[in-house]
This record gives sequence, structure tokens and C-alpha cells, in this order.
Amino acid sequence: MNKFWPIFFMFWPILAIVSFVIAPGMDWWFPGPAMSPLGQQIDNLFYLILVIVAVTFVGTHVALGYVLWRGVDNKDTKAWFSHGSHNLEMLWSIAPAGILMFISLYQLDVWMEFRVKSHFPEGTTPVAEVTARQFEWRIRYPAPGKKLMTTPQADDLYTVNDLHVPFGRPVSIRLRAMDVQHSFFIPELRVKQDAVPGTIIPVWFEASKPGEYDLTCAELCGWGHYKMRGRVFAESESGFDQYIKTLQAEQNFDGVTQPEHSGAQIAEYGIEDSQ
Amino acid sequence: MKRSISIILLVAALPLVGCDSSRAPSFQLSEQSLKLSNFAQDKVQGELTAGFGSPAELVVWPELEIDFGQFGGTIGKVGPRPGTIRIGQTAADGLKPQSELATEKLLQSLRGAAVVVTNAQSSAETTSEAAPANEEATSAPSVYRVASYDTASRLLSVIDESGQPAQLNASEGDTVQVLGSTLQTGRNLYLRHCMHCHGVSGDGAGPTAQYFKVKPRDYRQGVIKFTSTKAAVPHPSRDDLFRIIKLGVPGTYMPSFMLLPDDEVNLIVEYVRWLAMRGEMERKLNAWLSTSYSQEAVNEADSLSELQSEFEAEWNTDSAEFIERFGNDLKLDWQDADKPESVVNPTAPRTPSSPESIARGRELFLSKDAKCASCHGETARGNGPSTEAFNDLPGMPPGTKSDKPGLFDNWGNIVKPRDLTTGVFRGGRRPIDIYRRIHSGIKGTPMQAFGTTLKEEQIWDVVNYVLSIPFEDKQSGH
Repeated sequence: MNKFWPIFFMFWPILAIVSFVIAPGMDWWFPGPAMSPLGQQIDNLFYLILVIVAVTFVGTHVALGYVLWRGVDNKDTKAWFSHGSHNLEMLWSIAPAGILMFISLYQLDVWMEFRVKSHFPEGTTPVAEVTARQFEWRIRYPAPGKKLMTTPQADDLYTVNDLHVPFGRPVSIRLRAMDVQHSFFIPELRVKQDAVPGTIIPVWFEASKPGEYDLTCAELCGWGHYKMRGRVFAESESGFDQYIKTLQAEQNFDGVTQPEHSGAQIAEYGIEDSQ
Repeated sequence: MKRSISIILLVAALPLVGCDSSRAPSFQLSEQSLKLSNFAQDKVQGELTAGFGSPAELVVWPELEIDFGQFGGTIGKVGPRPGTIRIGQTAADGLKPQSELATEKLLQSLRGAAVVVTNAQSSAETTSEAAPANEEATSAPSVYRVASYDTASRLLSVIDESGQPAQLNASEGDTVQVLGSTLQTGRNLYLRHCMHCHGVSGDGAGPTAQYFKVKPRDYRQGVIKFTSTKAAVPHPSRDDLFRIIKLGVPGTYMPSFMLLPDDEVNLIVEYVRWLAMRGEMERKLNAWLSTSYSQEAVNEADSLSELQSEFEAEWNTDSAEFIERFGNDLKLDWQDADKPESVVNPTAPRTPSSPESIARGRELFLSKDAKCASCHGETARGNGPSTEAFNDLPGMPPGTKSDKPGLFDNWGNIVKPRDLTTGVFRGGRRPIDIYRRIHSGIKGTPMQAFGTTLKEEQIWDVVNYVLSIPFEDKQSGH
């Protein structure tokens, strides 16, 4: 019975380690492997930190367990109380500070590449403007062959909850929020960025494989937060172009034929001429 | 330590206390029905329950223009437990699955759906009052309700009216049909995705509706604002409802349900149509009874019993005929909505947008013929003079003025004419969508139909102008 407390205190760290070891096999782990090059780097950073933490965690708990276990049977010696050791304190201040400093410097590249616009990969093109609103993602594409402009254009194409992007090259979206704060989260691509009303935030990502990825809101935005789901389709260049063309045809549908003159013409003519 | 453990257990048990099973969803009578005298209310309630049932026990009224859905087959085996049937291999024949995933998931909660067992031999011993009359059958079928159904093993558990496992009058080779499977699954999806705004009865007064400035649609008039149907067709087509659910209504709280599989959306569409029909039936009964048998009539009557017996007499002689007629009207009206010729489709393609076309559209917008500006305002900001005037109330006899200034819709809410400068189009932004808005108006609102007053090319000019408004030069002085 004397061993109750050592066993009790050792049970939890062992449970934690066992959970971690079996987690990937039980599908308690990441939402699939990272589907983007940057996501892979983010995962690597995660594993690096996990290893550092695991070593520290196991080390301290083995020490704690050893001390407890030994202490139970030790009836003779009175516990020894220490009030400070300058060397020890220096050690456990400098060692964690060094580790933290290492982590913060080591991850700077990834951070800059992900967040700092001037460090975005070369050739990152904005494909769409994504506007989060309660409780959906409203998406605006430029017309085929046009650039995405900050303000809506007459020939822009609109859709909702369905973001199509080409795979295999970095693309970016302009993220906006219409009402409250939302967060643009594609778990499989390891992309997460808050959408803040009043700002336009560029977010880049690259899907390394074609497929359908979940798009969710990761910021509690109201009662319907749970239903704010979308999907991201990563397609080949030609598939993406085809999608935009289909969207354009659908958007300009007049019930009879496809007009030769699409909404693009409105912008080209210039509206002030009509006054 | 014991005490701390018991406290932890108590806290852990707290969420269980929150569940209140007594609050099962139920259909509520409309505000108009509640103005009827009590005896008339009872009849209306009885008629609605007979024709439509309750959320827990839906009634299949085959006369309605609804795909109620059914599946079944021959009985492979009765048992092993009391009240269970294993449907034979032909069971899937009656199913119309559009995707494996949806069917599997949706058939899980068929509880309460009607089960009809028709004996193969003509040795009918039991008959049920609820059994539909079927003159061709050699024996009267027995009717039960589904307790559960397992799609993998095809095991159907049935219960009787008291909720106990049914004493089955069935044997191998008999025919078993589960009725209303589509409506039932539509209801499950509706209760999950739609009910919290649109309400159990489809009255647009679900629990979250109170927080909204733009109210969720009340289906009970059978009217939906944004349709592809002509002005004379009161109802939306199935396709209209499908689009609205899939795409949402931009500028309102109606979100897009793009990620729901198509067949699930179709089931919701069917259930919404059914709710609308239920609401319309209630309105038709009200229109018939409210003049003579309202609460007000009771207050003014010399003798309550006299009025009541008069009512009973009228009900007994006329109700069957009226209800049949109402049902028939519903059927025809809703059939109309899905006919291809009910859809507004211009014969002339859209006039290519050009400065000239836009100028002509603007001219019309400001003209006396189209008088768009009287509501939408000369600058199209939705602030025309009508928004400040005392207007006729829609759905009322002409000349009934509102007591507040503003434009009202059929549901009694003040509606603002759309501010066309924002570039947000609730009914869709395709040229055809805006064409249809102008051609047949927006149902249930003061936005009237211009399909007869304007020519096709004129409507296209207005469409071109409307689509150009968000990009107008704001400095041009108008």
C-alpha cells in the first residue's frame, strides 16, 4: 500500500505516453499527411517540438518516479531541504531559454514563408477572394484571363463554399470577413488564418496532390459556426480553367443562349459613357 | 477522497439532466386558426392531423403532389423476436438510392413510418381502421409502424399503435411495404438543418429566428420569394427550392448548404413542399370557417350551442366535399409549378450589355411605365418615395392601407426595396435570375411582375442597367 502514490503518479505519464504511441494507429492523429510542401515543414517543426517535449517529459517523470519509489522505503533518513543552489538555478534557466531560443530561430524561415508577403514563393498568384460571413464562404474569382482586383469587377465570377484551385503551384487567396471574425482553415494543407473584418489578408498555399480538401471555420463565429464548412478542390491547370469557364457560362446564363458579349464588356466599355 | 469522487461523478452527470424528452416536436396551429372558435379549431386540428399527422407520425396522403417514398418486398422470414420481419432479397427493388452513402444513413431512422403487410393468401383475419382501402387486394392489409430498420440485415422491427412489438399477422412470402420513407428522411434532415430557423411547422419561427432582422421564410402560404415560375404560378418549382438550399440567399441569414449531397437536398425540398401544403390546407380551412365561426362570432352570437350545432351541420354536409376540393387544388397548383411551361424563359437572348442598352434600361428604370424608381429610388439605393408612403397591404382587399409607412410583404414584415448599388442579389445574379425577378416579380412582396407591361428587349435593357449599377461612376451627379 505504501507504493500507492508512486504508482498513482506514474500511471498518468505512462498513460499519456501510451496514448501518444498508439494515437497514429487509432486515427487520433493529424487529419491525414500534410498535402502541401509548407505543411510538411510545419509537421516537421511539430515533430521536433514533440521530441524535445517528450524527452523532457520522460526524463523528469523517470526522475520523479525514482525519487518517490526510493522515498517510500526510506524510513530512516529525514528529508533534506535545500533552499537554492545558484548553479542549479542557472542551469534550469539557461537550458530552457536556450531551447526556446533555438526553436524560435529555427522556425523563422517557415514562419516568414507562410506569413510575410515579401517572402511568399515566387509566382504565387491570387486566384480568388474569399469572404467569410455567418455562416458560409463567399468566393469571387476574376474572369478567365483577368487579374483579381481588390474591388468587385463587372465580369467577376461568384460561388459559395466551393473553392477551386490549381494544384502543384503556390496560389493565394485574399481573405476577408463580412461580419465577425472567422478563421480560414484547411487542415490537410496545414493552413489556418483568421479573417478579420476590415482587412484583406493574403493567404498562400500549395496543394501537392489533386483532391478534395475540407475547408472549415476555426474561430467560434456564432451559433451556426458548426455548419460553416466548405471544400477546396485542387485540380490540374486545365481542370481549373475548365471550371472557371463553366462558372462563367453559368453566371452569364440568360435562359436562351450564351451571350457573345459577357459581363466583361461592361467593364471594357466604361460605364460613364452611358450617362 | 470519497467525497471528492462523488462530486466529480455528480458534475459528470450534469449534462444528462439537460435532456428533456417531453419536448418532442409538434405542429402548431397558425395564428389565424387560433382566432377560430374552439369547436372550429378542433375540427381544423383534427383534419390536419388526419391528412398530415404529427412530426413523429407522418401521414401519407397519396392525393398530394409529393413523392412520399416507399420500399419493401416480400417477407423472407418472420421473427426471430416478436415484431420483427426480415425482408427478402427483393427488398431493395423499391428503393431509389442516388448514392450509397445517403441511403445507408437516411434509412436508419424510419421510426414511426407506416408498414403495410398484405397477405399472399386470401385468409385475412385482422383488419385495421387505418388500412387504406384497396379493392383489388384479396385481403385487407395489416398496418403497423416501424420501430427500426437495419439496411444491412434487412431486419424490420415493427410496433403496434401502443408502441409494443406488434403481434404480426404475416408469414413468409407476404408483401411488406414501408410507406413514406422519403418524407420521413426528409423530415429528419429538416429537423436537423432547417428547423431551428424555419420552425417545426415551417412557420419561420424556430428558436434562432428571433435573433434575425430578416425573418426566415414562413412556408405556410406556399409562397417563396425567388422563383423561376411565372407570376400566375403561385408556387416555386422543386428546382427553385433546390437552388435556394444549395446556394443560400446572399444578404440574408439563409446560408448555403452546398455540401449536403444532392439527394439529401431533394429530400428536404420534398418535406418543405409538404409543410407548405399543410400550411395551405390550414389556410384554406380558415378561409372557409373564419367568416362564420371565428372567436369573434362566438362572442357576438346569441346562443353558443345554436352556433355550434349550425357549425356541426355545415361541417357534416360540406366538409368532405370542401376538403377534397382543397386537396385537389393543392395538387393542381403544385403540379403547375413543376411544369416546364411554367418557367419564365425569354425567347430573345440577352441584349449584349452596351452603353446604349444600359442607357435605355436606365430610362425605363426612371420611367412611368416601369416605375422602378418609385420604390428603388432614382439612385437605386432602395429609398424611393414608396418606402415613406402608406401603402396597400398585400394579400388584403384593395384599399386596405397599412397603419405604418413603408412597404409590406405578405407575411406582415416591412420590406426594403433592394439597394441595387451593393451588388448583392438575393435571388441570384445570373442575367436570367434578374430577368425573372422583373418578369414575374418577387412573390409575396410589392415587387410586381412586369412581364406583361414590358417587352422582352426592354426587360433585358433593365437587366443590363441593374447589373451595371454597382459599377456606376459615383461622381456623375445623380
